[in-house]
Amino acid sequence: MTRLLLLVLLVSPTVAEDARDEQTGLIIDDGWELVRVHCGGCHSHKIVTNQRADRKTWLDIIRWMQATQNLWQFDQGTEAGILDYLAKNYPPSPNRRRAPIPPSLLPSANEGTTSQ
Amino acid sequence: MKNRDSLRYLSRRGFLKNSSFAAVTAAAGGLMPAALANAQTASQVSGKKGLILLNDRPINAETPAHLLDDSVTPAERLFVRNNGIPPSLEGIDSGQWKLEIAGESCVRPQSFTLAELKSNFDHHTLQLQIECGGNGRSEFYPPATGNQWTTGAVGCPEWTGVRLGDVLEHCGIADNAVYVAYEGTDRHLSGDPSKMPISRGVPVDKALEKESLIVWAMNGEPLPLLHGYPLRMVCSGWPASVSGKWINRILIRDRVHDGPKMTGKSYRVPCKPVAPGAAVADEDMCIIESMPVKSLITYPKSGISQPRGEPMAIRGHAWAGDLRVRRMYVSTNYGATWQRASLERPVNRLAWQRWSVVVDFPAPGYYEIWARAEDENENSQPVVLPGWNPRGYLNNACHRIAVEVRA
Repeated sequence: MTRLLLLVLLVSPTVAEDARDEQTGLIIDDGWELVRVHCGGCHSHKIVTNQRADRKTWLDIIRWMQATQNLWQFDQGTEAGILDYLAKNYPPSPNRRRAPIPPSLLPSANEGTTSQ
Repeated sequence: MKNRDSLRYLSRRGFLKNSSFAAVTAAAGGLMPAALANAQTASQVSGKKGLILLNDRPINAETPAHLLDDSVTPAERLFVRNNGIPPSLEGIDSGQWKLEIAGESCVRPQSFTLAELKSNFDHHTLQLQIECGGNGRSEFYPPATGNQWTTGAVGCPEWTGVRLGDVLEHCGIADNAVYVAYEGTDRHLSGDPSKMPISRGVPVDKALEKESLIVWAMNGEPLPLLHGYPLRMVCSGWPASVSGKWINRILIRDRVHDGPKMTGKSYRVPCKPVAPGAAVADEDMCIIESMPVKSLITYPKSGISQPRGEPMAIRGHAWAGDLRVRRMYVSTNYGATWQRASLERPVNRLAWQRWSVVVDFPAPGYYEIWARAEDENENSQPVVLPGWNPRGYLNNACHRIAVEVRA
């Protein structure tokens, strides 16, 4: 178990640094409560925490929801706060054409799994 | 990369404790979520086993590849895709359920109860694959918006119902008919009763194919609630969003259907290929029709370890939208050479096809097995990502698993 835990920490060195809200899973940082309040009315916060996007794309998503999905309008400060938070905490991963097989599916993560 | 590969598993009881490392690893069946801090409490999904929860409001969950090994996908292993809030079981009286056939190009609009559908039309049972148009979305860069499906938003259960075409012809299809669309009783996420979450459809020709069905049963049982109880459409080979759930209306339209999730960028890709990250205007987006050729390795499970000198039996499924898969290959050397797999015929048109092969490994070490299917028109799966598109549809890059051969 200790070895597995070490592996997780090595694979995801930032995991231990980011405090997260237990209920929503949101990273706790400036603006997180705006996202908790404004981005969980209709859908789960998981759709936020699983998404990665730059600031413009986050804004596009908000505009699409405002235009078609009944999302309310934000005042300027609220919108900026939400965008600052999302763009900082949920940005795109580094550019690539195809990532390697995820760590969770590698033999090192599956000790004890053998062929039948 | 943080969180990118995190997996949130639904245990048999559908529950994870986000604070407990032991609970997470136990529920994950020994697999290791890469980012534990993102493993959140998962709400219960009734009737599902081993699925990965992507979203709990509305519920969206996918199936790990090794749990899709059955030839006929059992209900507990079928992915769940919701655009809206499903109706509640208590609110459905299947004896009172009515399906209305209407629309500008319907000659004799009328309604059928479930019993009338069953008694007025011939029954058909077919094994038909359905795959979410966004299956594989998580791999696109720049990231595409929506649920971050990996490989598991696909399945191939056996469906029982009547031919959509038989019902439409009974009601009369006017000469000017263009599209056939469904409406269902799921509700919009915002709670606004005037909004439908989704209403999509297919061109008349696709609707009239003999494999396009209105079904009430899956694998010989009434449809599970999450899969459309009491009635859904199945138009296999196209994005599964054309196979509407909880349907109470079918419209024969005199135009391309314009319901929610038909327009804008939903279930559309750029009409002309674009560079990754390009801005694409809505009018330059075209509706996805038949899905591309694709395959999965369902045995063994990625991450397996075996002693050297033992051949490894590998198997999976392959499918190709409206087409048939003609050839199947695997590579154990990153595509340098490809070994032909044996490939079964589909049990009926639009069912996925079983494939299998035995490979040998030359020496101990780390290997990846890549699987590549080829359809009857010689379209093959790419080994890297296919064309980027804003919503991340149609990723049919070859499936890869990792294997350790011990010394």
